[in-house]
Amino acid sequence: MLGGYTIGYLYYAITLYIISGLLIIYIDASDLGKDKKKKKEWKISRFIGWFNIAAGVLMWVCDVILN
Amino acid sequence: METRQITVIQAAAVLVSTIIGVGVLALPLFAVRAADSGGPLVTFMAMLLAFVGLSLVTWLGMRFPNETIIHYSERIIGKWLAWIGSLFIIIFFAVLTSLTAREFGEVVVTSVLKSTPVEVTVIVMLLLAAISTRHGITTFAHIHTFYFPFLLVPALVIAALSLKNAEVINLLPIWGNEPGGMLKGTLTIAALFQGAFVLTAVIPSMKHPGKAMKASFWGMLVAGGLYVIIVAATISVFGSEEIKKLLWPTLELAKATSLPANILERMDAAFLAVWVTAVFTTLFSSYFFTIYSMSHLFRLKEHKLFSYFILPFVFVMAMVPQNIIQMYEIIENVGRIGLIITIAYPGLLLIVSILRKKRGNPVADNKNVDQNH
Amino acid sequence: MLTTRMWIKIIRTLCAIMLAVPFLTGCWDRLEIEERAVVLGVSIDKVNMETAEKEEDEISHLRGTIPTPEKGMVRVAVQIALPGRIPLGPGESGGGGGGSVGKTVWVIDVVGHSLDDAIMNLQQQVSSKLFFGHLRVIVISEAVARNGLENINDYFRRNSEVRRMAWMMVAKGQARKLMLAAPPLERVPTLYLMSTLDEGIRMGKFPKDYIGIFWSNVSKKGQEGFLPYVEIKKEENVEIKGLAYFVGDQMVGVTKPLEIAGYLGIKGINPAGYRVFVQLSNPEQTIMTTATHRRSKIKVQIKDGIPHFTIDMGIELNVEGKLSDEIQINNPEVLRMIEEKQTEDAVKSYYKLIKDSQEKGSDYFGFGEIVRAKKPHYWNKRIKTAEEWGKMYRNCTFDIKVTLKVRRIGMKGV
Repeated sequence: MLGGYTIGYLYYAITLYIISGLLIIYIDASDLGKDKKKKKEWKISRFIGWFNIAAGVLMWVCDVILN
Repeated sequence: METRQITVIQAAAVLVSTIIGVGVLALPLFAVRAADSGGPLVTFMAMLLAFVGLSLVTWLGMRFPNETIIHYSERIIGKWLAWIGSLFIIIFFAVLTSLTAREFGEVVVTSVLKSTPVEVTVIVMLLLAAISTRHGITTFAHIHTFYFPFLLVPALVIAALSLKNAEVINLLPIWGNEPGGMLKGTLTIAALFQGAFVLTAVIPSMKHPGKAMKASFWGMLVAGGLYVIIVAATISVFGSEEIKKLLWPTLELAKATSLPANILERMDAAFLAVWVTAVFTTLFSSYFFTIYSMSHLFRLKEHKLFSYFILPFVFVMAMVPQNIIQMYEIIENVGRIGLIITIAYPGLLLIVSILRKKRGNPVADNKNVDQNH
Repeated sequence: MLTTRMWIKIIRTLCAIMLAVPFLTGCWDRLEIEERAVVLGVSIDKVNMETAEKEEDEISHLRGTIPTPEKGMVRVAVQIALPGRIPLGPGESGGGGGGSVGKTVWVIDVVGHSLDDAIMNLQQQVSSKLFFGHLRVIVISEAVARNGLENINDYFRRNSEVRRMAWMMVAKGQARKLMLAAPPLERVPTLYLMSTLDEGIRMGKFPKDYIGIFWSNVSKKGQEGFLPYVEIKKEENVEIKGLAYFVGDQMVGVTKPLEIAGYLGIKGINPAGYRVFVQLSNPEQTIMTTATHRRSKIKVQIKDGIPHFTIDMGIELNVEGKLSDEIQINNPEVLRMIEEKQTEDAVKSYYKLIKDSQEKGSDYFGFGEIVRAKKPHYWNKRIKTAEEWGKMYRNCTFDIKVTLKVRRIGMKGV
């Protein structure tokens, strides 16, 4: 388990990664997408959103494979 | 950039409520470990040291009244060096946020909510901070100003009520019997003040950046004064040797203090309620500063896209310490390293900026200046 | 086909619902008041090893795996408040008004290797969760106190529920008797014990000595702790029999009740409340006085490397009564005689009290703290630790000056 915890916080972390990614994409990215001046912000927000979702999913997959 | 709306009082309130935070609980323990009965003196020296650090930052901020440290450092020492410096600042504040949340979680799990998992407490607190940081810096200052009296008044009341059980002899000699750890202790306690670094983000939005020094003076005086009072009250009630046996002496002080006429026989519940607010404002500041600096580093117009992004990272970092003793070791070490980032680095920037005669555009000291960059 | 916009809407609603879920489940640590076993008092006694071993069940460890501690095993009795039985206002009849134990509280006892172990054994026998937030009185038998309180202090310090305003006391004989006692004056027995001491403070008969203060004193390098020493009398009333004083965590001696007045006088604690007999020239000429106000100043000098204390005390008195008419209290001369005689007695008793404590090496007055605070150079060079101070305290010299003033004589003229 992550960090050597006997009762891991891994699932909390996975949930948090995925939810935060979703929040970024559905709140921030969609808001920023409307603003023409903030193209750069919109790109970054989509990137980090998907990054977090990917991180969460990857951790989950690793956990499933290892156990 | 937003309009300049933050007043001197608001800036001072930001400083005070940022500084007063989770560290209050263990503060007397750090002070007593350094120099037993000399604890208040150590705290006072730490306050002076922290004030020196803060005035360097303020001075820098006043030289560049339109920019945050992330921007003007690039003009002072060049893009790449400044980039490394800024990265360290951001990482440091992210770590500070995570440690604050973890320390909060540990206290809550030990003393109040014993069956609530620490992860939940930490996540709830971080989520609260994350949601609050989605607004601009003016809202940030308003929130701090709003909570400011809620922090100050109850803490002073508890300190005053505890004087009933105080013994002056516990505070003597004022320099302590074994002042060997004085220097180390001063650094440890000075580290509790480093949230004040958020001032670098506040100055560019102040109505009168020229008065920033006034804000930092008052902010430091109030927060530092409260720290000294808390340490002095705790030592005078318990004696320094007893404090060495307590993990959170300030909480114990609240437990030993009762309202007159036994309306409340122990104040720890009331104190914890206040303390949660104090932790929230501290967490809020460091979280805000982290994402605000990130947006400046990448030259973005918006900081709220990072508010949820760093949440899982901060959470994972908060879970790194394996146990409470290790956690305090990490907090002390991170704090001392942080002094390099929050005092030495701005000091260096200031010297270089003076030598290279760099300074920002002055701001006309009018009331309704609208600086759109 | 659903459009992206609709998808966003659905997911947003789902997210909002998910976020709300944790807030709707209520408190994680919810524990209703009737699900708690509120412990009001705890008593700790020493027990006979063999019988205890047999009585103890295999709860926190299997038999024979943990050697019995050298200090012996303990019997712990607790007083648990019965929910709904404790009368809240003076108007209610307290469960029949009889006030015998069993009406408002429930007393159970268990044995264990240590206090913690015993509490664990107890929890195994009690359905609700033991709650120590309202613990008011901890009674320890003299035998346990003489064995040392490290384990007991450790347990109560570590427990976050225990308040520092609770009382800890040493009982003469069995401590459990105090848990079983049910004085008719208070409806809850432990509250009677507590008020005995709280009222003692108010009447000037006892110093403030809550468990938190005791802990602080034990920790201090230049001071030892002391606890009230109590005994249960035949009507289930409780007498304060003196101060049980400690060296570190171990009880080493006990004073007489009158010597509490000596302690209070030396420390200058107000209000004053003790009455004493003063015999002037013959037994018939005995009068009784009561102290009303005390003041004390302790100064320290270092003489030949040994601390020398000068204690300057002042006590104000009232005349309370006399044994016979042989003496007329009608002129200042008589009052002066009383003052002189009582000063002489008082000084003698103060010297004796300090001498006794020196013999035991227990500085429960905190003279050492004065040295530490006022003469830090000497302290840092010569003493530094609590053990060293214990040794040095035996050699300290004292100079006691007492000024007594009789101010009033009551409503009678002679």
